[in-house]
Amino acid sequence: MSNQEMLDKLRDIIVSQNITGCAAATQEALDAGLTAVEIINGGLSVGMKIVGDKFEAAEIYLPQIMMSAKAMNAAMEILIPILEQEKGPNDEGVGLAITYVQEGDIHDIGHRLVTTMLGANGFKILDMGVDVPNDKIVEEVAKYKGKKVLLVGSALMTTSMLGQKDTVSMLAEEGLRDAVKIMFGGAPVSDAWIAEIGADATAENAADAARVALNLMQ
Amino acid sequence: MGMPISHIMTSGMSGIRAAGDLVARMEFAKNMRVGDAKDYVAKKLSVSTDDLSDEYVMRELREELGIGVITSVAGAPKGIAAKMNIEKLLDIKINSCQKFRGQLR
Amino acid sequence: MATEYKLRMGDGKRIFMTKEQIIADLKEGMADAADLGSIPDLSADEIDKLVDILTMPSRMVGVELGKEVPVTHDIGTIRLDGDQGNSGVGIPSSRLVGVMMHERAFGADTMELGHIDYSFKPAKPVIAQEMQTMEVCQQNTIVPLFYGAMPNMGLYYTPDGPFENPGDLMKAFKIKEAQESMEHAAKHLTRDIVWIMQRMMASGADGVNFDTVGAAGDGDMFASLHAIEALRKQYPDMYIEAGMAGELMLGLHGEMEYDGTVLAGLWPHQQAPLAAKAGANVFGPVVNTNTSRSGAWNLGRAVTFIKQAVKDSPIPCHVNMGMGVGGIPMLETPTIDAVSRASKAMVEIAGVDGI
Repeated sequence: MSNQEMLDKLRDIIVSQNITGCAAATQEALDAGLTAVEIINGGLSVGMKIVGDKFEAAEIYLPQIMMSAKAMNAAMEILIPILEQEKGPNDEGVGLAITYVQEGDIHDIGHRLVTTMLGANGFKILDMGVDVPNDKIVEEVAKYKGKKVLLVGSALMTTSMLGQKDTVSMLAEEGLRDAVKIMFGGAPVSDAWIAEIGADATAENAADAARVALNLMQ
Repeated sequence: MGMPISHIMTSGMSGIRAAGDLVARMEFAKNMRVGDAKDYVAKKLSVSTDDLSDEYVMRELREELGIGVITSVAGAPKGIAAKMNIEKLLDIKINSCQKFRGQLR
Repeated sequence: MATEYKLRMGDGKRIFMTKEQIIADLKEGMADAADLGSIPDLSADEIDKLVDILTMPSRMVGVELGKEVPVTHDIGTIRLDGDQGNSGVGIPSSRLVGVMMHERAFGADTMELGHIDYSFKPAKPVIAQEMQTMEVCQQNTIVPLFYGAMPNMGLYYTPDGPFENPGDLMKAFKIKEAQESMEHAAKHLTRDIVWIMQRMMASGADGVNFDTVGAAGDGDMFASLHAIEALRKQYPDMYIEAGMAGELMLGLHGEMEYDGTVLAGLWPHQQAPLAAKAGANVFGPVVNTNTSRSGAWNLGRAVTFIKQAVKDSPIPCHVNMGMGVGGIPMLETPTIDAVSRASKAMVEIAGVDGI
């Protein structure tokens, strides 16, 4: 089997939610000489992108996307120790993701999904929950200054989305803006909004959020 | 409040200012689409379907039929009394009227 | 320079567009709906009509005389007395006053009584209060008066309810357990809705308005349809309106079925026949507003979806046209120009039976 065929197999295993198969195929790819980064970028992430697109098109639903995430997780359990070994003991891996839902908003389906996806993609997770005030977020970011940190905020409503602008400005006021990468998501969040408030990225769906997050933290 | 009032002004049948309540009742009581509901009510009231949204026509007619008028007319049927007249007029049963009758001794 | 017309973004902000831009956005919104729902495009005449409506110079527009439709209301009197950060305007008033104001001051075609929390579950402990208020309101109103509430199945999960939160279970990859939790919650929700409505019917209610069916996913819709079915069986003459929460039925469970149809992934025109089958009299389809797109894009999309729902529905359709749905901007104070244009378009192009 060529390297590309192996990567395609990994992609298809993610799409078909084959949890045990994913771990075996990952090991097989490693044994064949593919690197952990190649396996993630060329196979697993490609599969998750397809899963995200299918979810977006209502061709698959939450249980199926979670099964794919579980398959991804099974692969990452094998790959993370290798990545850590390759990068040395002081390397932080892909980083810490601080996830939360903006103050005034308790809608957490998307938030939970993105948190799970990030965890399955190797991020350490600090889930602050729902209805989180901006001062608490700034406080938490300050604790991890100097580390690889990704802030991931969610808002379902336009009214709560407006608080994301304050998040960015409060982090800037505290001299923390450059200490973190910032992703915002939720139904009303757009690329134009991200640009307007000076955040770093958004994504179309949970699976895409993991891909965008990994790119952002590279 | 801008939203519901805007809808009422833009598209609504004005409730008891005209005959919106009657057309709504037929949609719910008999699953009638709006055109059928209007035809049914218009026939029962012996008016045209356009008249059902016409405050000028319906103001007097509602008082005559005792089915409730929007202004405070002393002695005109209100609440359950008006609805009991609507039951007869539209040939339907209204739950609150049934309950009211059930309570009479 | 081409003439520019005053329109709104999906969040309500004023924008200026040329006729060509409006047509392009209308068509793009329409194509999005047609693609997602696998439904037909609007005709060229219908697009022209939408352009006419959007470019009318008046602040407020209205349907042609004779084309008026009944307007039903959700959220009860909370829009008047609500002052908890929701869409209410905080006028201290009783619910009887609120109902009578809707009937006698605003000219509402129907009205509903709702609990301040506006979900079925929290109405249980105060059911005697709800019954008494319904009786008093029924004695004083003429328009059809429903009891309205949200199924809101989320209240049955921890920390608000007895069943483990499927979100937590899913996060731990306990997929089967999450699905079972939804199934248990759905049974309890159906039971509670029926229990509450038995009492409201005993108090003279004309019927029930289910507001935001499916807000907690396909389990929420499953429970609501079963409640509708049970109520219809017990009360053949009861008025039942099934209003949806969103355009797409979210597949949180993914495998729940009603009448042999998987609920997850259904669009408005596919939801309507199921509501009718369960026994609803009126279906309330929803199309969500995208705040990042223009009013033209949103209205083109919403009218395309709703037109098909009206066509495929065996029962009357009262389209949901509140904040952020039905082509109306997502704004607590929706602009009258946008509301009246969306309202007119839904009646004259989508052919709705009511709003």
